[in-house]
Amino acid sequence: MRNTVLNILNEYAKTNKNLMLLTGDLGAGALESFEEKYKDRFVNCGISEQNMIGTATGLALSGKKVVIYSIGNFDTLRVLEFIRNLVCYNNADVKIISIGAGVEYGPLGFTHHSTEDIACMNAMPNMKIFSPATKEECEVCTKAMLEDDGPCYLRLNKKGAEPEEIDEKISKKKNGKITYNYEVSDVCEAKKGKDGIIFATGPILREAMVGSKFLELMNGIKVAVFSVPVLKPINEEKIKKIIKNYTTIYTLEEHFTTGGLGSIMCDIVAKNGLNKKVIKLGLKEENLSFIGKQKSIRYKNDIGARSIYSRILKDLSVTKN
Amino acid sequence: MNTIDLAEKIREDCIIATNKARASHIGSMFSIADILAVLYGETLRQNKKGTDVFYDKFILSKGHAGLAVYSALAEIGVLNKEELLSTYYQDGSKFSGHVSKTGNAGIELSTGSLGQGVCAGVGMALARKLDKSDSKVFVLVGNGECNEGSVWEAVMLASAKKLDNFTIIIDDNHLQCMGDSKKIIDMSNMAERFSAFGFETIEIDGHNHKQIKLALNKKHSLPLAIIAKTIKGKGVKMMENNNDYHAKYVKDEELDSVLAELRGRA
Repeated sequence: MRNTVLNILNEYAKTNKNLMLLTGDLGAGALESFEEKYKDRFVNCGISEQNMIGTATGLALSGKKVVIYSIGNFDTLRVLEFIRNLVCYNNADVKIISIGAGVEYGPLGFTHHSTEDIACMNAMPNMKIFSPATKEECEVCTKAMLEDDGPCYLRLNKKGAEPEEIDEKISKKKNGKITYNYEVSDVCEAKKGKDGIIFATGPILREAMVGSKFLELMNGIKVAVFSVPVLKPINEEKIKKIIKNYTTIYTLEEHFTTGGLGSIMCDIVAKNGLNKKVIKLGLKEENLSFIGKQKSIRYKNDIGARSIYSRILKDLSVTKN
Repeated sequence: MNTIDLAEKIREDCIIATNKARASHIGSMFSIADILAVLYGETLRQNKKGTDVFYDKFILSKGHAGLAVYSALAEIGVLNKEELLSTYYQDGSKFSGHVSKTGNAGIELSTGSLGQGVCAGVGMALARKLDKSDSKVFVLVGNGECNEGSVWEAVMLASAKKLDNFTIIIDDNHLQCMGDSKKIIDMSNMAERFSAFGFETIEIDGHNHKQIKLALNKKHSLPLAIIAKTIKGKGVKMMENNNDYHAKYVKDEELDSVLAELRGRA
């Protein structure tokens, strides 16, 4: 998805002479194409993220559209108060991109995991949050972000939830191919189902899709999956309509369960007095020192496809009994 | 109005407004009143039309002295003086204690959390370079504010980009919130520090208008740091070098004598 974003930036910069790209000395092997084409409009601010946010604000208040690129928490949590006071309070045209969302940097360790960023950014006034799951979502989100003239945050991963076979054994017998054939919008129906519903944000959508497909193929249970690439402003009315006929809602995110998609869903349910249960699937604080690959961290936190499959199966059988 | 008179009016407004509002940071306001008088009275060029008042940009990074900026703008007719003096710090006012841009013509940036305005100033200077504009950017920071690492991050980028349109003015009054800066973090070799970071530097008496004018008009091929030696509370004897006036206002019973002292000085 990173290349998707950079291709759009390169293209957009052709006609939008005010577009600038700032980095905190990260993005080797990715940002060079922009730097070569638009030398004056590319600034490596050095390893100094606070100043990068401030510089971006000064540029934006002088008529530029500024895109910031960094990884992990370095251009979000590390500089949160700069974002609050400078970017958000001044409603500046600054777009913050952070790559490696969730635990994509896996064994690099906890310092490189962005697992509270949605919570923090959702609390920021004037901020919009994009959290794409696939290349298609990423393209729509990036374009929407560039068209917007205020503060935006793009929660980005290198790899999206791309189509894949879910399980060789199953796919030999039945059609186990996962596809993402849906029209991208702020809340998108990735898979239909009347027996249950999962909302996911970001590429972890894959785990929801695979888990749901397993339930269908193995047990004949149909669980709907929705992707939520726009977290702020959240499309509350649309979500209210979608969840109308479900009593339990699962949310899935590569983020701590406090302040992310699950909390956003709880807000909607509570605010509207809906008699529904929200089950928040996400990272658990007790596992924060677990070291492993992204996939292993997901499984450790019970947010891999198999855990989702077992969890929903168990919950549904309890309900039926 | 000449800059000496303007400085006096700024101080007078600050005394009256903080007394009425029971607000403070008056020591810091007095420390920078002369610098602001020269900036707003002479240095900053205004746009001939449009709503953006100034062609050259000034950011008060030490936002707690914001009232002094509001006052300067009111005295030169950009903001409404009556509104400022009657509503400063009050419910529903446009004038918060830390300088606020919203609804206030001539204010370039809302500040208050230290070490942030200077970073935005570097961005503004960089934008002007890219646009091949000869507009200049001035940022005023406190000596205590220079404890913030982000000041030095900003300074490094200004230096790396050779921003000869960028000037940082250090209000070097040797005091900060908890007392004598030398006893907290001694940065008394301020000029050396800025020089080591690639700035041209000049040290001046921050209350001498002639020296302030010369420094602000100085041609420089690198970014410039003006180390303005100042006195916190300058202009009223009981307030000078008295750090209590970081948090105190002039009491009702002292008001007449303090205003008389100020007027006598001008």
